[in-house]
Amino acid sequence: MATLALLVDGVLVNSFPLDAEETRIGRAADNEIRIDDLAVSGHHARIERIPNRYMDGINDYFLRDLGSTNGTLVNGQRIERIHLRPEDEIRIGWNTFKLVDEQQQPMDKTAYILPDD
Amino acid sequence: MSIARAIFQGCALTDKGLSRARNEDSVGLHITPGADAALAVVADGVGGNPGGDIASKLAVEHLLAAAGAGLPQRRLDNWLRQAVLAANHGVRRQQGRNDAHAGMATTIIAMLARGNRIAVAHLGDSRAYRLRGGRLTALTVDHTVAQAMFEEGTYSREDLARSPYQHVLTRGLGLMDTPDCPSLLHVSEVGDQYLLCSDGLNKVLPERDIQRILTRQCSPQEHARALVTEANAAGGPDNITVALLQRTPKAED
Repeated sequence: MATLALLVDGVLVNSFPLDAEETRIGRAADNEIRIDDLAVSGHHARIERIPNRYMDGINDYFLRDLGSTNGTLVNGQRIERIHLRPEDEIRIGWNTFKLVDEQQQPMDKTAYILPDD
Repeated sequence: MSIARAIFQGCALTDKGLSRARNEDSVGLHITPGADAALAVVADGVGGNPGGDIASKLAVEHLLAAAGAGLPQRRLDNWLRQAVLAANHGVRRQQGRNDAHAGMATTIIAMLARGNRIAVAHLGDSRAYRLRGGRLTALTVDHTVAQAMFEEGTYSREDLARSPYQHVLTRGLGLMDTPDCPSLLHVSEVGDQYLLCSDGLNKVLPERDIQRILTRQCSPQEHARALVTEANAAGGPDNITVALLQRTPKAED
């Protein structure tokens, strides 16, 4: 199962399971990932888990900003919605996260999926 | 209506690149003795399974053999699709003969030109481009998971550009008995340049760089060499293959 790792100076300090279709991130009490940081909005962002239609057993994780005051940054760029890759650095307020997903091996060689016929 | 006369010249070039141990791409070019018709083909053997290099070579050989037996006068798109399907059949047969080649597969991009008609057929992520009036236009849409996710709306354009699924093919030659092979007919103009390439070119050279190179006034041979040289200068992470076809401005009536 994929997790969202909270990193401080590159060191893993907490790990949150992404075991639901939606995982909310924010300062308010009803978020699955609650961050006590004034730079984080009450409902700041959410991670959406979507099963890949073309590859069995692969889930894709999309990060969506929920109109936060200070924005959600991926690799330094403010985003609205983006497909997360394990190498991406996520910034929410003063916090840095990374997606940890062992299913997602880097695919640098041409591969193919088996057709359904 | 008769087809306008046109003259073609071309060039094909393949290079191992700087990172790969082998070249699994193949390329072929057939121009009729009168240069009034031409067939070009690029195939990029699929990695992960053994035999990708053999699949790409077989596919190109099949198309060149079909071209050698005579290029059609009309219905170019139909002929080209049938030729790709015959090549697919040939690769499938070879898979059955040798266990080591059981899963071999390849991409294919093929182009057939006669008169002012030009047909483009493909499977996988090898591409065709047209340069006309200094502007580069893609003539194919990749058969990849990333492209499919973009078309269905799951992906933004930005997601498509950074997707980990750009190399994951949804179609290819050798994967099934009768692949759904698009073959489209275009109308060519005097001076048009056409480029077929494996992803070793377009994954490292942005389209504006390809356009810049092809806009230079020089021969297809020099264009081909410049494209490969710049792809290697950009790291050359994969095999690089290009086939260029130009509808020449001369000798027409």
